[in-house]
Amino acid sequence: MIIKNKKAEDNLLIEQIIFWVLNLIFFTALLVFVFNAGSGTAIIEENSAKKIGLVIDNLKLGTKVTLDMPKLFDKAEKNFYTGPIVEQKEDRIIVRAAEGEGHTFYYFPKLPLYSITENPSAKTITISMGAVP
Amino acid sequence: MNKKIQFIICRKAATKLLSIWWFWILVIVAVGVITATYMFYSGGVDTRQVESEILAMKILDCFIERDKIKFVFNPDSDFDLFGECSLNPDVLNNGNYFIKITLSSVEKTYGDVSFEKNCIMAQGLTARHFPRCTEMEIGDFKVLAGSNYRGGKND
Repeated sequence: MIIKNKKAEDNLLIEQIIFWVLNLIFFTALLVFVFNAGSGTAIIEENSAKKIGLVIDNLKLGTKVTLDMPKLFDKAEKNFYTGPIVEQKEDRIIVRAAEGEGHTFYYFPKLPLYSITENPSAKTITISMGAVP
Repeated sequence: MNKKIQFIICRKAATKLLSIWWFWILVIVAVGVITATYMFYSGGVDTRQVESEILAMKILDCFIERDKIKFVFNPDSDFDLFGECSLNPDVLNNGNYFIKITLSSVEKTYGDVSFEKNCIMAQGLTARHFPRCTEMEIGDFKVLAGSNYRGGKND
């Protein structure tokens, strides 16, 4: 009888351990999901496009700004995307970290001769407005 | 039956019962967290207030030079805001922006004029789809700039 009781207690202990391990796996998976959701391609594209767009909105003629964008370049690398990350078309910029539509942001200044250059090794984007001295 | 065995059997049954409820609790928690995360990130980054501030500041910078108004601004003048301030009329007239310039009693508006009232209304309540506005003034010169632009997919 004592041996039987011991067996039942052991089973209960194993069940408890399995229960808590499964719980731990479940909540870890949930946490991983929440953290990954914030670093999705679409979100990084949107954040970067808006950041660059607002910088262009704010730039004055003859200024040059270099933006650090490690998350954007890392995402593009992770997605094996080799195309242009930042593209400028007339009055808007398009940011892509993967094949697809990307995120578009219109800017309102109408100043000529600006350029947007990518530097993948430094993970930076340089925006020049007009002739930079 | 031995009391100890009976206790263990009862506990085992209780554990099984608990695990079913626990499973449902986990499902509810997972659905809640996934829905909340999706809702939070689908809202996007709201840059409308910052954009309206930049627009108002740009116009103010354009008009004021050494504390003086640079342009002739009266009801009869054919003032070209977009040309003078290097702003893109195609973007600012696409229904996502509003500009109101007031100098003494002279007033000129550009873009979606409904923004002015919507901005006042949005101050008192939570209105996600209403534009955000910024008002700046120096002396008699006043600028009200509004933006309801959220960016989007490639078009």
